[in-house]
Amino acid sequence: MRRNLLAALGLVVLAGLACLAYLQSGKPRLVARAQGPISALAGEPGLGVAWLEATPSGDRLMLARRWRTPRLLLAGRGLTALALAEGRAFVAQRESAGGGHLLRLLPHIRKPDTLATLKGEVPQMVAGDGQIAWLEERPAALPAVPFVAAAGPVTVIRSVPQQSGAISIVEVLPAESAPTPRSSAAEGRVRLLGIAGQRVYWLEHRHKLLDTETCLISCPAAGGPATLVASEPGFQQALLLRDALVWTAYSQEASPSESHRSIKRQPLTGGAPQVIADWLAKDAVPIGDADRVYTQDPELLWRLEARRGEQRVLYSRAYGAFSAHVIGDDEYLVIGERKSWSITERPLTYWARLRHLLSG
Amino acid sequence: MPAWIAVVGILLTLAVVELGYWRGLMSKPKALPRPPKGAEGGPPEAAAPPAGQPGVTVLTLAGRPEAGYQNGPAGEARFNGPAGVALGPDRAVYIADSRNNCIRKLSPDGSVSTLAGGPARGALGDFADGVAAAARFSGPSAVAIAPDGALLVCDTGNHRLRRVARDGMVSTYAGGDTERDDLGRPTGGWRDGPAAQAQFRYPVGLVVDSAGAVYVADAGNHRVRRVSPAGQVTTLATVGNEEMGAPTELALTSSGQLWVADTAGGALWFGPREGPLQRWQPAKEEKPLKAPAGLAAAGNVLYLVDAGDHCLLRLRDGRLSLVAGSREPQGSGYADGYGNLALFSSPAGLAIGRDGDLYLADFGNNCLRQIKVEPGLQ
Repeated sequence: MRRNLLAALGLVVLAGLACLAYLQSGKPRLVARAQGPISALAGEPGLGVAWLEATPSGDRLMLARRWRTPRLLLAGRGLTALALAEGRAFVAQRESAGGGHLLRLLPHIRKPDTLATLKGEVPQMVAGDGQIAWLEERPAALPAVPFVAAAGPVTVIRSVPQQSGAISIVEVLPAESAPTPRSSAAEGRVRLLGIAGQRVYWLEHRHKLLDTETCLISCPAAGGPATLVASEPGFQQALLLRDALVWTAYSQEASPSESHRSIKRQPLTGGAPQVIADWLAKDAVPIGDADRVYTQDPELLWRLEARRGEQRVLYSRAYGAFSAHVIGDDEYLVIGERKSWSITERPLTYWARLRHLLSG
Repeated sequence: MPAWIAVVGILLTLAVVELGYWRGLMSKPKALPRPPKGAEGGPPEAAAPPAGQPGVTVLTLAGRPEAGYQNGPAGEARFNGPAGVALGPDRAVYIADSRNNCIRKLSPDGSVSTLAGGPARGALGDFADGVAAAARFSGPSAVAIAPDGALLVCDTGNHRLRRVARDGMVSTYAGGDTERDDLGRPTGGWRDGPAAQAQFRYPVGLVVDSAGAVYVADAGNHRVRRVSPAGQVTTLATVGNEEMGAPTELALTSSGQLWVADTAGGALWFGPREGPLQRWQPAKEEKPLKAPAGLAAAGNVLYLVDAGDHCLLRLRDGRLSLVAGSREPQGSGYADGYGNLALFSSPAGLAIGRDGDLYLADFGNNCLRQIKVEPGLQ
């Protein structure tokens, strides 16, 4: 009788917890309030989430381990790009005289070590497969002379092993230096997607007279010939998963096709790309982690069911976000409103919600 | 008995929660509003060429604003940042196709072909002498015809002057090896002396006189250089400095004056061809030059391109006048048509034909333009 009572009590407690978890679904949790604009955010499920915030007294690299109070990892001026990998943080620091350093930090050791010397501004950095790759923007050799292509600014993609080693030049690209918005067609805006299979993946937006072309390109991290993976008309976005590339494209069903977006997926091993979603808003952006794909537009976060070819609304947002990131089972939103900057965390799966509930 | 009750209970609870979770997911999203057909997203229709005042007519001779690399009929050909232009004795037009790292030829029959070099991926060009197709350039930005009919090229990224013989063989005319940076790009240098050992830094413009001497706008060194017919390189004059200004284009008038465009400094310089140069000053009431680039002389009349104002100007008897394009703010664009209703985008190299027509490398619009000026207005 007593054992039955205990079992029933356990049952009630579990049911209560589950109901609470369900009721709490969709409620974001505040991770941190920043002291200034947040310029970069990166995460690793095992390590937590880290970000760069610009404060009046300088830039700060902050780390929030799961369920713990955020703490300062590094303070200094000119922190511009960030990546987390294998329990380490990698950050680019610009020197006032030009150039800078790529720093590597272990969270429990405050003193960083220098992994590479930088020769330009670093707007973005990615990590994966034991490598770090970054964009390095180098200025024009002949500034203010617009028609000298050979002396123009370049964007360099470089990489280095996370454990340190030789620095490789992955690719050198003409930088965005168009004197008018529609000139300089070959010059593209470059965004790194990630590293997989010892290859660096990036996308290039190439401006044309009436439209933009988006090219997905990969190249060995140690340097070598680049491969065009796919190209799409229009300004598109892409995401590198563990085993596939996912990108937006003009809708195949809408008319006009530019009015909506579809999502295509192509395995890294090759093969024809498959459309896994269609009729998305035209500003939809794929975000996700290694395995799952979500798309966001200003109002909604969708989860794509790649196998079923369906898309479902996870929730709708009532406020604007500067950027969204999916790390593990959680979505992180960077929000900036009236000199107030914060990072919120929202569980995206049932287990993540239960974990949030249990962690308080 | 209690154990299985607990297990069933837990499973039941999880099922209820999961059902609720999936119910939330299964809710059909609101249909996204479909814009009316043609209301948005479609490419804007290209504007029809405007009508305007007669006398000067601007035409697109080859290429179109969409960049690329394609040979064939002029209308289908594609260029990528054409920066320099020259007219050959064979009535062909030669174009320094800078971002395609090659020299293109527009034949009198209207077909575009590649004379030497070829496109290379990325921002780095290459260097190789040899037969036309095997030769390599790095961002060539100017071309001129030598007295023997060969084509001289400012191979800007390789910091050399190259020569393309009439049989297509490419050789180095002046400029030797220099140090390389960490990306493998030669850095250039400054050294006078025999042509093979001389060093340049980003040569971007050149003009050849009737005796075969070559005057070079050595932009990276902020100097005007001269290569004598005997192959000796000397420095003639300094234009600008590290902070401001650099020579970018040159022209020789029939009276023997050397004119130099200083794009970054927004200035024109002139003087005897042996130097020194002095800065040309526009009249007080005239709008100052913004970024003079291409130059071409017809007798003692100088035509010049202002890449900053996206227009073609004429300098005659010390007075500037607008020939084509617009000097108004936001005057860049692409439009053929009469005189000041035509639009250019960062125009660069300029050449003048025997009939008085002007040929313009429209860098930003990736095409070759022809400006027909009626004889009475030339």
